[in-house]
Amino acid sequence: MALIRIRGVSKAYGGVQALHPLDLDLFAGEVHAVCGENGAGKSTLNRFLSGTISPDSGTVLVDGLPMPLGSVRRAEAAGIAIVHQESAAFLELSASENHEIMREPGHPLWLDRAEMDQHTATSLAELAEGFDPAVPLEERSLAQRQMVAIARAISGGCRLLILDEPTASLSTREIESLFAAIRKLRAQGVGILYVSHRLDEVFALADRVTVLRDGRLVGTQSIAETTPDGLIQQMVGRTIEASSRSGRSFGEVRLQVEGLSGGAFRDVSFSVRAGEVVALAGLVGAGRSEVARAIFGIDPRTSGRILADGAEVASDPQAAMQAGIAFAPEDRQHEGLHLPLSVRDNLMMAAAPGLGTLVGRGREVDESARLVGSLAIKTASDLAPVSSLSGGNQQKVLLGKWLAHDPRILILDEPTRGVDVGSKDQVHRLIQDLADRGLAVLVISSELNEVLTVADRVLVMRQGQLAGELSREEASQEKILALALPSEQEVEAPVVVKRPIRRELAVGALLLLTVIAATVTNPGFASADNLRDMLVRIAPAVIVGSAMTLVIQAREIDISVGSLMGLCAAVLGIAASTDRMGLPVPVAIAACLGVGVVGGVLNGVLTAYAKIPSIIVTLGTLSLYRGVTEIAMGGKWIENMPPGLRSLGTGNGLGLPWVVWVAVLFAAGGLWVTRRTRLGLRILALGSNPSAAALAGVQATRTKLLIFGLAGFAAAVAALFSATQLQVVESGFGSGFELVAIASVIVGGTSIRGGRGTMVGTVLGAALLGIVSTVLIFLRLGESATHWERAIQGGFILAAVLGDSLSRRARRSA
Amino acid sequence: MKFLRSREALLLVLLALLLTAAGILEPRFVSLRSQTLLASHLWELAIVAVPLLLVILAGGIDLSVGSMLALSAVALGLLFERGVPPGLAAVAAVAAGAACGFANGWFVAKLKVHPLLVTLATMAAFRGIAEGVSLARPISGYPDSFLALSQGSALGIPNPMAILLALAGVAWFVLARMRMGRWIVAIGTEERAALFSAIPVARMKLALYTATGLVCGLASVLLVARNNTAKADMGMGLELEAITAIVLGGASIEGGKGTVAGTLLGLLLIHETREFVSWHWKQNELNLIVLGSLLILTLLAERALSRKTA
Repeated sequence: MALIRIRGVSKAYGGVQALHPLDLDLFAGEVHAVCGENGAGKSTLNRFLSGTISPDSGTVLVDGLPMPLGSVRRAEAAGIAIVHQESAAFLELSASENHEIMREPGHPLWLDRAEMDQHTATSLAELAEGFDPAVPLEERSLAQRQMVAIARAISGGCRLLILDEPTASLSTREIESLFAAIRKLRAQGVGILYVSHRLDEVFALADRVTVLRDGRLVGTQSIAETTPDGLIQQMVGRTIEASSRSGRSFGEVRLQVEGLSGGAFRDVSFSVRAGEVVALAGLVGAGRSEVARAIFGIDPRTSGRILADGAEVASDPQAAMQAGIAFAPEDRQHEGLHLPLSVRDNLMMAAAPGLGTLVGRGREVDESARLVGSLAIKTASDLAPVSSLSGGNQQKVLLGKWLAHDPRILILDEPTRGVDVGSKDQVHRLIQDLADRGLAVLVISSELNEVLTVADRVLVMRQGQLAGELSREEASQEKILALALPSEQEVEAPVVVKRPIRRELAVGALLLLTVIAATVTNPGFASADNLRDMLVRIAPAVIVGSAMTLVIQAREIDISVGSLMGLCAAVLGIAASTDRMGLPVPVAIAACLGVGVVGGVLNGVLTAYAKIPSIIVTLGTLSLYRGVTEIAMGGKWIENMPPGLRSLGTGNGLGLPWVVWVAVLFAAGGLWVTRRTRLGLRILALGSNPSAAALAGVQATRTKLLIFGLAGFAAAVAALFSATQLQVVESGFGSGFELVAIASVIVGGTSIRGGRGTMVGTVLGAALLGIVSTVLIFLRLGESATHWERAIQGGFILAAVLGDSLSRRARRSA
Repeated sequence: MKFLRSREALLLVLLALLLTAAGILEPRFVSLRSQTLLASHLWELAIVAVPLLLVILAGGIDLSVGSMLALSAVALGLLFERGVPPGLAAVAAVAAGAACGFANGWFVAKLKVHPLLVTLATMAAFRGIAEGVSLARPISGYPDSFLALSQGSALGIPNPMAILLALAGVAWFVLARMRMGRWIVAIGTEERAALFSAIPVARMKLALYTATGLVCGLASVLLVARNNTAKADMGMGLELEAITAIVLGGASIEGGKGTVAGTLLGLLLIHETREFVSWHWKQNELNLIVLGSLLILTLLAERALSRKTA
């Protein structure tokens, strides 16, 4: 009986039918290859099997029982694991954290890190050698990240393993270890769905092969019954004709690249002549797109020159455009086009300045209409949004955008990705027409068929360098692959990242220096009383800062904590003060904490469920909470707290004020959450890469609700102690405190982009901020020091941001 | 027909409803005399909202507008106090605003720091500097010729209104007719695609933040001239009101979508709501609640509507 039966599954995106109703059986203990060109429906098939999308119709039966679709966790529970084509890695997290997330060993409240490392090391050992599980993935190569993803999928004890182009960035040796692992799994009875368009791999590995074309099933057959040529014919739907582009003559050199080096490539030199189409082939990650981006001035180059028609071109997109270079990038959605904008806006986005600075008039309208006509772009009107067009027509708009500028050099990165077969031919013909008109064309493509169809000359890149050049006559799939695949001897050079000085050390040193300097200039600074005062001063920042660290690690922010503190203090005062309601102390405290949690959860609900950016949500609630506070207090201060409450703020335990112990508790709790709980790991994953977190099944809404609730609770606790210590609640209580908390977190090294940061850093940040304020008072700025306090807090954040940026730059150039 | 379903039409309906209700509850509120008097509360906010709309359209945000206004106002006051002619001091205030905006833009465009973080920090820093250098005391006593900047009028149009209309006109022209407007929308829609279209993204951002600062400086001059005083707590909460008006006017907080007409109507709605709340309940604090809720409810409604059409 089949392990998995797919029955009548289909999916449409907008007007495009990505997958027509499809039936397919997958068996245990077989490698089932799925082949097809880009846009054939392979990825769509993977996505619903792995639960990331739900199909429009159809069912999937596992062992004859229907599987609920559209849930990653359900798919995993049914034993389906997937390795996605684009590496869905959390770069800030370590290999073992990436490997173990969502299936962490140990108790939910106690992460067994030793066992995590152990698991990871064992599971990786089958695929790669010498892998330290504790190193963050950002310090690993693309191939090594891919190995971690594969190891994760395999180690889960899956019954069906889906591998989507798993070898796209691997070296020969890594491919061999992967194949060995796949064969072993097959022997153990695991079903494997292997998606690839590298036919050599399919024939080396697969038992059966299914071909998809334009979202339809062409056929499934045993590998013994088919040949590579037969498969290609099925994939393309016809035999590939040799193009008539042989024996052509080219003009003068248009684009000359000399010794170009940059982040992912080094010492690349080549030239393209007028009327010539040069293809840049190689594996994903070989540095082809990076070379194109450097030529166009998007990525910086470290050395080398670029000449357009003999004149040197600066590293800047505007300069490149003025030099007649046009660049159509691979990622149409995010880099090539502005999908929500109209066809005309897109076509005119990079138009030559000759068309004037005014838009929507005369020549521009004519030019747009002309391009739509000459490129045969199928659209209702040139005012329709580009998102309503099919992939092929979008690609034509992207080409048209650059043709409007009348370029002399055209660089196309994967020009037919996501384009149906019919339009592919049109794009290929267009490329050749443009070359015939005298343009120099550089085409980057992963599809060897495409390379062989359009190119007059093929350059092959391998691991960031030009590996060789093939003329049209010499070029064949085998020769290109032979040059593109790294040989066994070429040990992958490890990514060398100069680690920055740990932020905790830098802040700690600064803190120590400040204390020493202050003590030397004024011995009174180090007195027990003053130290105690400073601790009391710092404590609320630590309490709120520890919760804020979690919020910012998850790539969110809460600027309403100061207002919420005011509201909590007002509720406490109104409930407890003998002037007001005079309720018992425990009731008042419970009301205070309750209001904090409710306020925080409200922020969380609006952020997580309504998906409004947290900065806007909390900007709104900042005002809301402040307004409620002011009205509740009725313009009068709250005094006369009952003695029971007062002792909370002024009392001591073990020689230190209670608030200091509570701050220690919060810091320790925060440390425990970030380092030792599943929650902490998932918060970092959410901040590091939200879409990868969703693919892994991290529940974003619940997690965010929880951390915003925690932030509200922390605000309430801080308010409780500050109010009882001051013994009075003034109007404006807590205002501006959000800045203190955020500054502590940012100064402590937590990244505003999420995914990174430590609790120790936050505590040190809070201490530094508090001590500098105290020092200012000691410097006899006296009264005016309070006026400068806000400027200092803002300045601290800017200084931290500046420091980050400078150290990043230093690391990059190292 | 298309207009009837637009955000502008919705705002006009809401405005009509609000004014009708206000007219029933407080007949004197809707009289021309009251409205003319109250209108003066709108100008500075509206003037600042215009360049802020462009920043938001380009996918950015500026939380520091109120603080830039305060710092510019304090600069004007301190210079005037030291004997600088008020006209020159006003020019210096505008320059100070532009310098603040340039600093924001530099962090955002050159260092590529998230604008939220940058302007949250400068919101505190600029306000703090204003408080520090002025020790938070008011600086008053300007000559009538200076006060006329804000309180005078030409051809029956108050000067600040003329400035607002001119700024709104420029913004409209840039967005509707100039290539630069298309660039702004393109940056806000998809910044990477704008970069790959050889749009000078960094320069545009620097220019937009600088322009916002400059206009805040201009608004500070008008505000000082209207109140005859400069103080470091001026423009407190301005960022919230301006952002609320812009979002209310149909602009997307993620950038790429929004109109000048929508923003102006959003401003008008906020202005009338705010003034009516103060008039009827005599409690300014209530406005904090109303504004905060308005911002969140607008976004909730927008999310609900877009989900329905999607």
